[in-house]
Amino acid sequence: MKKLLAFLLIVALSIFGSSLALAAPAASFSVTQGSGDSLNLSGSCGVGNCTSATFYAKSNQFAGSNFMQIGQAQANSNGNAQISYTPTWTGNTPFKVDFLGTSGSLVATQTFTFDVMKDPSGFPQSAIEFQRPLDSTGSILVKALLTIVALVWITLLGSFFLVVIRVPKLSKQASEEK
Amino acid sequence: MTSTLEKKEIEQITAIAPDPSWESEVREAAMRSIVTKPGKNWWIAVSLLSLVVVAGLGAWIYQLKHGMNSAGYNDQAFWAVYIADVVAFIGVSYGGAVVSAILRLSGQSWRAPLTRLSEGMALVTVLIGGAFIFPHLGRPERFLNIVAYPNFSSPLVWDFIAIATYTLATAIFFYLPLIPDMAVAKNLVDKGGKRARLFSILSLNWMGTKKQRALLHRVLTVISLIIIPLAVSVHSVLSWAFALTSRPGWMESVFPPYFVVAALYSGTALVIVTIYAFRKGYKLERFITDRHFVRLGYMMAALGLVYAYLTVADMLTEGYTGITTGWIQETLTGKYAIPFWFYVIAGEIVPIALVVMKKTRNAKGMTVAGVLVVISLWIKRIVIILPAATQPLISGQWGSYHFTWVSITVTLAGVAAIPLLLMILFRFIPLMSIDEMEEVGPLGSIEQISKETLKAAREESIPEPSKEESK
Repeated sequence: MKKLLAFLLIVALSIFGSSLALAAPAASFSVTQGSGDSLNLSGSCGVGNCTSATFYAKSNQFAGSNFMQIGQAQANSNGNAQISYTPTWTGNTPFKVDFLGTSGSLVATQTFTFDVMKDPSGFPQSAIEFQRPLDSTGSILVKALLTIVALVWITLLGSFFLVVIRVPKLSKQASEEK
Repeated sequence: MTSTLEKKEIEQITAIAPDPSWESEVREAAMRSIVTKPGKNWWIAVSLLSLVVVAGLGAWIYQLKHGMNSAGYNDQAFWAVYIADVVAFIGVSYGGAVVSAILRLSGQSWRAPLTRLSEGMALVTVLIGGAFIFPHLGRPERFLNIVAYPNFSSPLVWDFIAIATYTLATAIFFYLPLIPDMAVAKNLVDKGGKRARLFSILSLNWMGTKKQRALLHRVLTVISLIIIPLAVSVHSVLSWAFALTSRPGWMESVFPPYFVVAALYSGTALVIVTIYAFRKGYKLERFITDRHFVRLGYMMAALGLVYAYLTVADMLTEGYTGITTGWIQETLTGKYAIPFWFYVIAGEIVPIALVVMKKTRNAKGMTVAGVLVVISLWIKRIVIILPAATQPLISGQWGSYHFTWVSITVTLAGVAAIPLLLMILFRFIPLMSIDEMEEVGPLGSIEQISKETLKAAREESIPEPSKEESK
């Protein structure tokens, strides 16, 4: 019995050991805050036979439930690739990397979710979000423009209805005279 | 002794005096699309064009489900093909309306066989151009927010107001000259039929009295006067949707006239193409001659030169400062060089050469030039939009836009919708303005006849008003 148990133990350990030896290193992917507002996206395909990596992000604004491509990079001899990317939105964002082999086939894929906290500051916020004032000159301009629009609409519709009303009346007049 | 000029005037008056054979020829030709049953070719064309339109609607539904990325959009290429479609389609509409309005205001009698087709083209293209705003919006159901919560500091609100006003003006401008023709048409179709009833309603019981003509003439003059600045404002406001952003390549003071001239240039080109297609389809060579095409060709070439000048002015001013020139490098020698130089060759050099060379100065030559201009100007809009949209402002990393089957199918649907709607529209509407054609006579519909001569002829052909009417 002891011999049988010992045999089973040896078999189990052998299987576990061989599986450990055969398993390729798993692909890895991480997103970290880079300098300024940029993010560093770096990944490794875990094996040396991948040549390039394509990076994606999921943004509801543009891709719905799909990932959208944000960049590509060549993988080095260790299968590592990285890009720097500056998102133009904030919030919990899923990122993904696809590692491709020499024939262009997919070798490995990994995802990573990163909470983008910082709004891009490279471009002055005032230029993006500054609300043009409508309380002084702007307000007068808007009123003036709306008045012009109203006058144009009145002239157009007035001209149209003038014809629609007057033409049948003039015909009636002419027939009565005949 | 009568001078040569007087002789010519007298001849012209004689030519435009009521001529029964001319009248019947005009009526038969103008009503050809209404009274004859459509042939096999018409049905094949309508079926194929409808298929393309349906495919486009399907592609749009796919886009609604899968997001703007399915049309090639992303966070950097945030504006791309659909806004180019909006600008291009509304632009050609502007050309059609303004060509007609300018020729009407300046009393060009040769406009008579062309106005109906160009006004119809203007109406159809503004509707299609306006509809392209929906695929351009990722969330089209939010469109009504522009009415419910307008932000008057946004050029987009003013875009909406300007396009809506222009569409109204174009529709009225199309309908009013139709009234006298409807009165003629109702007697030329089967009496008591649906079409006769429709024409009768649309004719407003028109009898062609002097007072009615004077009223219609006054109103059309007012609308022609309004439609020109209105069309200028539409394209200026469209350009400000770009120019009021802080993007190099868009933030240009030259943009409003740049857009207006592009619209006129491509619009005149599409008028030529439309007129050629209908002339060939309905055999209108007797009324729409090579001279009409050549005159329109001259207008197109002049506008092409102005547009070339504005293109150079735009690039030179910003390129010379060297501050934000990435988009210029991308346009001239980078990713967008092929489409840009295609525009230069096919949209400027070749069309102008076709107008200049005597051998090609005919209906076919002008139509080839028109087709090239329409295609090149659409490509030019893409070249204006994409380099500036994808130019990096933050990271130094250029964005990119890739055409997808979705954006291509939706755009092709818009292109197919133009001939489709025109073919259907002109099954119910006379191809040429019968009233104007009869007024100017055979000579006036080809040659320019002065307003005074026309007035004299009108006095002669229209019965004197009664005393009551004169009041």
